[in-house]
Amino acid sequence: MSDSRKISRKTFVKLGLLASAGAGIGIWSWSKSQPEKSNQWSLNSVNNNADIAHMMRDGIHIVPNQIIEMPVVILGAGVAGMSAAMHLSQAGMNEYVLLEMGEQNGGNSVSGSNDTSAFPWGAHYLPLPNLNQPELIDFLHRSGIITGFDANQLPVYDEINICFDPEERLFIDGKWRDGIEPESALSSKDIEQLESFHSMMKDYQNSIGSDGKEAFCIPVHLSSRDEAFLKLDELSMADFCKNNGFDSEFLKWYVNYACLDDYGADADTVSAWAGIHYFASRKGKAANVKTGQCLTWPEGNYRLIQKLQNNIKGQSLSHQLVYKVDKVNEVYQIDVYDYKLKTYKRYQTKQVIAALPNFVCKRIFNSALIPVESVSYQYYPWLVANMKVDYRKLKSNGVRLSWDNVVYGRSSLGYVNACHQHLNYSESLLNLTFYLPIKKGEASESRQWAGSQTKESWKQLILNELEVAHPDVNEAIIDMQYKLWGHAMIAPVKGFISAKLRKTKTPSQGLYFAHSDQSGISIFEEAFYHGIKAAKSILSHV
Amino acid sequence: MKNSVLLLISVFVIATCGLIYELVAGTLASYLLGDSITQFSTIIGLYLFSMGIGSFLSKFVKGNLLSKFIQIEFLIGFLGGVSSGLLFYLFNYVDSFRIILYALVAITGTLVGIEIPLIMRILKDNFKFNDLISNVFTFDYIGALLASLIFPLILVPYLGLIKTSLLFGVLNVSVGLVLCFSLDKAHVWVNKLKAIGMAVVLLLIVGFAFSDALTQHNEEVFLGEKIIIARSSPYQRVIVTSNKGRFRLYLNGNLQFSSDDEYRYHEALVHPPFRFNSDINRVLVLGGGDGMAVRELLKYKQISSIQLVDLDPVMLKLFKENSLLAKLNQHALSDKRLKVYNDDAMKWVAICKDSFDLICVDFPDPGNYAIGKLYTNTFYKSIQPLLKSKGLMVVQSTSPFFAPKSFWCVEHTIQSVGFNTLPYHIYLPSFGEWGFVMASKQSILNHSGHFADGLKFINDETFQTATVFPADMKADKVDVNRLDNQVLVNYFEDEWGKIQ
Repeated sequence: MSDSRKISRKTFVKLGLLASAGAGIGIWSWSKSQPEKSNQWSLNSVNNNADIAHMMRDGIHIVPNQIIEMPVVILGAGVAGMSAAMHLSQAGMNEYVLLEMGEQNGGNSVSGSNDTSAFPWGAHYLPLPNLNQPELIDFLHRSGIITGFDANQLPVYDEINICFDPEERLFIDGKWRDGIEPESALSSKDIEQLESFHSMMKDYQNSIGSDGKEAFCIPVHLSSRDEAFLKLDELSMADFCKNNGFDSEFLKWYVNYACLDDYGADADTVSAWAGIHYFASRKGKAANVKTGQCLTWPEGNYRLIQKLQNNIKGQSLSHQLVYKVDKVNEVYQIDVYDYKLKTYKRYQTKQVIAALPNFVCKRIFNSALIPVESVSYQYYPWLVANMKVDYRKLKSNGVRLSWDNVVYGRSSLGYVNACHQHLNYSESLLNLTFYLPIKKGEASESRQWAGSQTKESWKQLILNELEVAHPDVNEAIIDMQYKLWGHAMIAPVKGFISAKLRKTKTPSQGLYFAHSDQSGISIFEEAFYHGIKAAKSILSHV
Repeated sequence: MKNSVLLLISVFVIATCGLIYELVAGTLASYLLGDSITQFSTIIGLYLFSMGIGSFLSKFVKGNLLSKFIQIEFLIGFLGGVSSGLLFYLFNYVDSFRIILYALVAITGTLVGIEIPLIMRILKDNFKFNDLISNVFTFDYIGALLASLIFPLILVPYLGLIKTSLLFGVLNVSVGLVLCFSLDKAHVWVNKLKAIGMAVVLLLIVGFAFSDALTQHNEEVFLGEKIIIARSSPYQRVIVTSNKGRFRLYLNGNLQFSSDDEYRYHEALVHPPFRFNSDINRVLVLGGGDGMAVRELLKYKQISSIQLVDLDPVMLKLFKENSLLAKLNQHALSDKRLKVYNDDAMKWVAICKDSFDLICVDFPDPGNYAIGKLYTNTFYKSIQPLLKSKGLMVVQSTSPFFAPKSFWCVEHTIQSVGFNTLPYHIYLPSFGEWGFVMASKQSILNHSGHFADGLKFINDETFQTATVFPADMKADKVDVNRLDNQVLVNYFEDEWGKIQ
């Protein structure tokens, strides 16, 4: 036997063993890569233009050289401003400019997206609309959301816009349960009081005031001025419940949740009128949708924003910081800083639609232009977080994922599945939108508190809220981004709505305040109503 | 002398190991390829023949025989140890699985064949020839008996194939190691071998510890059947089991078909429309990534185009490329007339501009909300523009016996968007009564067409019977399944929930 053969055979064995060791290590490392690594997802803050807005707060003192004459100027491209612009365009009036401070039109209805889906950053549904707003029904019809009308003139909706089943679930007593009032988790007292509460709300829903108007109407402006109902605006929703003997813990939580959901403020803060309005104003009817159902989309109400945008034929500009509005010789001077082009310009116009929240108007308008009011405008902050999750790792005890997923007794409102309205098969990667109204004392204190939070503390807070119902949520999250709304929406505090209903102050000629702040309730229908109303006034003057 | 006793014990152990490898390969081949008689027969034959080759080759092994023997033990231990895991794994990924299987069996057999002659040469000076032959073969046959008894009684039921082969791989290598340690430490080669042996043992032990993670051992025996394919796609867990040459496909644990009676299901899904329309040329299949429906469609020469839309690329790939599964659908997924879209049916239908004479809708049962959407009025509405005026659609509609409300809900929902319907049902031994709904924009009356030749189940008489529903398959008033009520999922859960 030659040496070379000896070596070669040895080498063969060695190589074999080496190869097998390699394969073994390969398989071992493959198997190691299978179990989840400790999940280190990142949390990112999404710009909400706070820095730009603060420029306005701190004041800009530049007088622009560029003067632009414009028949109509609309300030703010939220739902109200865009509705106004749409209405003008529909009447063939396109000589207007719509100025938006943000990068994106849409106000509270803006949205974001990632490779999984679009998702809302704010408003995300529209209750089945009442039939008393023909412009809204018409808008939905032209947008293809309503496909036609049946023999009774009831709208027929394209069902892909209607919230799919299952709509809601509640995590209570260690388990997800079907619906927001799951009887399986309630005591007989809870159930009794819920029944009597709902029957009371039903009565309010059908109530007509002495002036022949609905007691609780959307838009708020069309509600009855009957003092019998307006006096409900003088007490808080919490006191209303107490006065009526509603002391079930569940009912109290439920009412509080409803107030937070629609107004961002709790039952102690909002008035009983507003609290009842939530339950008693939705009377929408349709040929193929039940009253009480709602319309929703992956991107939330941004779907409606896009439909509005399609109807806007005038100028629509973003990145426009309006920093001063004055009136000189019957002409409004609107000073604007375009922070993208870094230019200043002044619009001169006789017609202005101020589709801005009141706290912004107060800062930029010559105070003489703003009617004096006794009411207090309060805005609580909100945090909205969008998280991409691997649904297969999101363990749920109880019924399956719904559109709206609420955890009983927590300060957050739970989360909404942004992918719920997807028609394609989506059971693996999902975007969930988490809503947290922030109440730490008064509105301004809450804002201060929210502003002092760090990314890390938000992360912990969000996790704490979610882990109640999903102990392993950290493993399921792939990434998360959040947006803090400093002035999220107007809170209909005691006395606000009744003051608005009792008398509307007439502003300066040619100036129209069109914002849901005018109603005291920040919902799509109200903003739409005020936008259309302002546009109608302008058209009647032309 | 101490070494010779050890060597005789080694004979016993390696004989056990050798037979175990052979049994593992035979069992595995039966699981994976079916037809256990053929598999065992060929594996045993090849194994024994390879041992013969090994015996022949043993005469070329010279030099330090003990060292060579130990090295061979290590090699057999390693190969035998990883054999079943390797084969299970490769079965999913290689087309020429048989070649790998037989190669592995041949190599193991050859190495085992070298063992005994080698050991006899090592021991030839310690025993008389008579005693040597007698001792070695006694231990050899006792080992074989032990292996043949513990394999079916203890190893397969309690350890499974993968752990069994790893365990015996460890024993096999240990034989070599024990011999190493019993030897004089002075030799350098002994220390080297010790290191190598320990590395291999360690490797096999690690494999043993992680074998669950590697193979989902808990699935290896699934509903009493052997798993031959287990894949996770982003949408579902695809499992194919085999038992006595019968294959079953499970998606997320739900039986989709059993190869011994799936022809009944697929004939019932595909053929009835041909009785009502002799002019079916263009066909759309939604779901049905297993290719079975396409196989049935291809029995009609007049069909010029079939388009198939299935969400799951894993299913499509398996049933196109895996030779066993492609054999089940007679390679239908490779037919030239077929165009496959790997897409979501809801999405695909919404943007499709084509129109068809026949649409076969073969989705999984509406057991969750995601699939429930594919049974809604919205979905059937979106199907309408794709169907020619004389076109027909067939929808698999779960069991009218076990889930009558679900079945009639599908029928009612299809009707609600303006289709005429013809419900029918057949008996499937693996599933029980199963239902379908045929639908058309026109009334389904004209019997102008003919079934293809050579069908095993559907003919004019059986189809006639299929359209008759006895009272125990009827349901009271059911709602239309809509996106915003998903009643079908609720019916389905209620009805099947009672059964399971």
